[in-house]
Amino acid sequence: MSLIALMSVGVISLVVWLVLVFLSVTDGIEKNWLKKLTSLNAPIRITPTEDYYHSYYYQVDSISNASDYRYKSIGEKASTLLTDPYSPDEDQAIPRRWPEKLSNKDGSPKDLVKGVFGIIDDLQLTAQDYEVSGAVLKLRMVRPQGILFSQSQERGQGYLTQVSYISSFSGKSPLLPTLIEAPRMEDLNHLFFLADVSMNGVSEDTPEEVEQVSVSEFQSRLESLLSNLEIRGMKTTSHRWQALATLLPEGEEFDVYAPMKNGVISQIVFPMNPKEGSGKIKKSQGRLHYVGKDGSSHTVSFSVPLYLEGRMSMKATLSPYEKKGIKSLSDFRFHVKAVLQEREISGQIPWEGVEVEHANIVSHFESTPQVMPPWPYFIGDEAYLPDGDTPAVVLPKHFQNSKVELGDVGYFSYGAATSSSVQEQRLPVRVVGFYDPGVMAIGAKVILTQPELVHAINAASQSLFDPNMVNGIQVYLDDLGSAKEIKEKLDAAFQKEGLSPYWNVTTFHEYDFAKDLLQQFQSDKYLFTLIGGIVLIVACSNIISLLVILVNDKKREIAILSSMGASKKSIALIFTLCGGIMGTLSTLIGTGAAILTLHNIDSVVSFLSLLQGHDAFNVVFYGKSLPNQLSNHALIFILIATPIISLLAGLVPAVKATKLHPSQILRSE
Amino acid sequence: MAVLVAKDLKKSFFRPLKCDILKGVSLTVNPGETVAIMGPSGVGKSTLLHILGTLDQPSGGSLEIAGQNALGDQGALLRNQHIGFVFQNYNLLDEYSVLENVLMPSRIGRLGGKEEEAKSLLLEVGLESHLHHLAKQLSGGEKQRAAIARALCNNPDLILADEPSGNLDDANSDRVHDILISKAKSLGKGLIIVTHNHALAKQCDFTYNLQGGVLELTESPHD
Repeated sequence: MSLIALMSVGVISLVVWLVLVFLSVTDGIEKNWLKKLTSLNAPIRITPTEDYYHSYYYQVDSISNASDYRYKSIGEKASTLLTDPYSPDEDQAIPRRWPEKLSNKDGSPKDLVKGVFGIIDDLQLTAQDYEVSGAVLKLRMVRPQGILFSQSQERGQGYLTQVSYISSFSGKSPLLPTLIEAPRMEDLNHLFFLADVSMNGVSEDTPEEVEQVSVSEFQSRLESLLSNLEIRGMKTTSHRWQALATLLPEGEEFDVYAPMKNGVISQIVFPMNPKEGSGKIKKSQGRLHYVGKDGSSHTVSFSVPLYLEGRMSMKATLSPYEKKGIKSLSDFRFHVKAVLQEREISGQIPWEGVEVEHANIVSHFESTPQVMPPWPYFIGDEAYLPDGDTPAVVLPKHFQNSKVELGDVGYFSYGAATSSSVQEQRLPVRVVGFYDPGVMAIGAKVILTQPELVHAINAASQSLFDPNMVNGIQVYLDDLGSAKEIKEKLDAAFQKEGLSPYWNVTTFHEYDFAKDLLQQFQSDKYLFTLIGGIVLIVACSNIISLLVILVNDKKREIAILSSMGASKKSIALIFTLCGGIMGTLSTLIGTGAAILTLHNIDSVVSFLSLLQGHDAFNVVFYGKSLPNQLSNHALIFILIATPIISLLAGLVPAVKATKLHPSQILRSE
Repeated sequence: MAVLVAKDLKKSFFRPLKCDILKGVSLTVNPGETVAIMGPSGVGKSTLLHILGTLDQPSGGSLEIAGQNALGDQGALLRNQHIGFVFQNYNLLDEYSVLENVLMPSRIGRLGGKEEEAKSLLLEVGLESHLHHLAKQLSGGEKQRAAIARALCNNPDLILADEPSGNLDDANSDRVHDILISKAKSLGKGLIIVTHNHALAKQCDFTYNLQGGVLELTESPHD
């Protein structure tokens, strides 16, 4: 009997564990997706209505000298000093078809944009205007031909073209820091490689050759890099590495292969681990001496190339340098430590034939950095793009698959409408970072850049886009759950201030790109919970069979208790409680196991991957690692459902127990 | 006041034809009175005893125990407070100790502070050295004495014994009979014993014979 009880508790615990882990992981995935959906597109968007674009307030810029006869974006409207730039003396007459100019109670012109930002401030919300546009991105990719940082290195170039959406970089978005990826080591090496490459001619169709920058520009680029990172490890870039000779300790022997050509050593190859070679080499008084197995002895000429059998990793620290003394990367010196043939070698090497393997990258600052890094950086909670002559762009990270690296330059090409034709315009840009666009269908095509750039493109090609879609205000929230409530507050405040005809407030639930996904998540959640509930009921029905057997087994005892005055109610209570206790116990065991599993979810995933022979969970869909937070929704569901279902399951045998006839049982005994 | 007043009790079974096993049994038991009910096997003695103890429901008639109608919903409460059962098979709870068995009715009735009383009852039936033994470890005679102590523990008005010595040897039977009758007399309890044992019946104040579904008084102190 106790074995059956244990099995029942085990089965229910297993189901509780399964449901909790499954619901927690799906809940976590949903949260991650929501986070990704709302990090690029804030949870609340305030967009101008048709009325806004027809208003005097918006249109007046197009006839005002003070506004350069140019429509203003929301960002420009927010920062302009003049609410009404119109001057009757200078500007043409206001067309009659325009709506009335709006005024405040005190007669001053009503500012539709500043009014909105005022309300946002009153509600203590974080908000930023955004603008979206479209253009063709063409990147010119200068790449080393031959081995990076080797003496024989040449430069070649390739091109990458992509039609893209361009969105303004929203530095205030609280989730942006989690989306922007830290520069990879290949990015750092590429930045060093490009340090002396000129941006000149970047907007040309096919610049003929790669030009070099001035020494001072080269030096300031290196400063921007080296001030914001600490190099900790280097790695050889090719097998041939002449600097090895300087690192070999005096008087120690190393195994080598030394092929001979016409009685002269043509090259020397060092195995990484001690290995029988053709002989041994030893350094003495700065020169290398080779002793072959056959007893022959040679002094190695400086011109004999030295090779390593593998790539060598070294701990490295950059030696102090004079900025002015640096004309090329090989002027830098590193103090390095490495292991060759199980012996430590160390010394100073120039930056030749080696690349950065480990570095600490600085991108978070407490105040404005003295030397700006060439990648996006953060001051407090706000993100910034690096300034520079060339506007910065942050690309979706899938560009990395096309071998785009930090520092690559190119241009945006877009059509600018003139009175008679559309002319192609080009704006040079520089890649400063990559971000994770998440799962949004258009996310992979959105390039983030400085707001001015987006506005410049929009202003030129305004007729091509629906103005309602391209400009607005994003409101960021810590708690996505409060989005609907905040929307109501905003709507009410707009109503009160007379702004509601000019602005639409939408939450992420209504975004076109998110709606379907969110609804799908919602139905998935209900479906999974339903399935969980059904499995739980099936598991708990075990309790019914167990307790019915128990009632049959304990008939005599029930009759005896009844003869002593135990009421039917109290006998029923015993069995109902039995069910309840089993349910509660199983809930506790299952929840404990679920917490443990979630805590070690990575190990579980690796185990599953090992069983399958490939990654068990797709990174694109599930993220780098599965969510490991116990879902409150799932926990509440389990904590309520399991004991209740178990209690109900206990009721069936309880009723059966009350139907027994003690008189018959006692007589048959 | 009589501890038990049964009037015209009837009981019919359908197996499968209707069979009237009790056809109008009337019985009154006063405090301190001992009653023996005899009769051949299968005549309905145990059924009558179970009906008197509210474990079974009669098909007709009325039953009052300690002045209360015993045929309503109050059966369990009446059994707990006013009736003590002694069965032929002892019916102790095997997995509990002797003391726990004796205390069980008071636990069911949520009456505390009965432990000393239970111990003294067990002393009186000669089981003081077995308090903490499991019930299943006792001999038949010991079990029945423990059962008597259990029946008395809640200080009931009526004790119902169903062939209390049916499974015991003569020596143990005599001891059990003595205890039952002396306790009933000394404590002023009503005692109804269903038995085949004439010697035991003789010790009782009244002896009834159940035959043809009715009780016939065969012996009374007035005879």
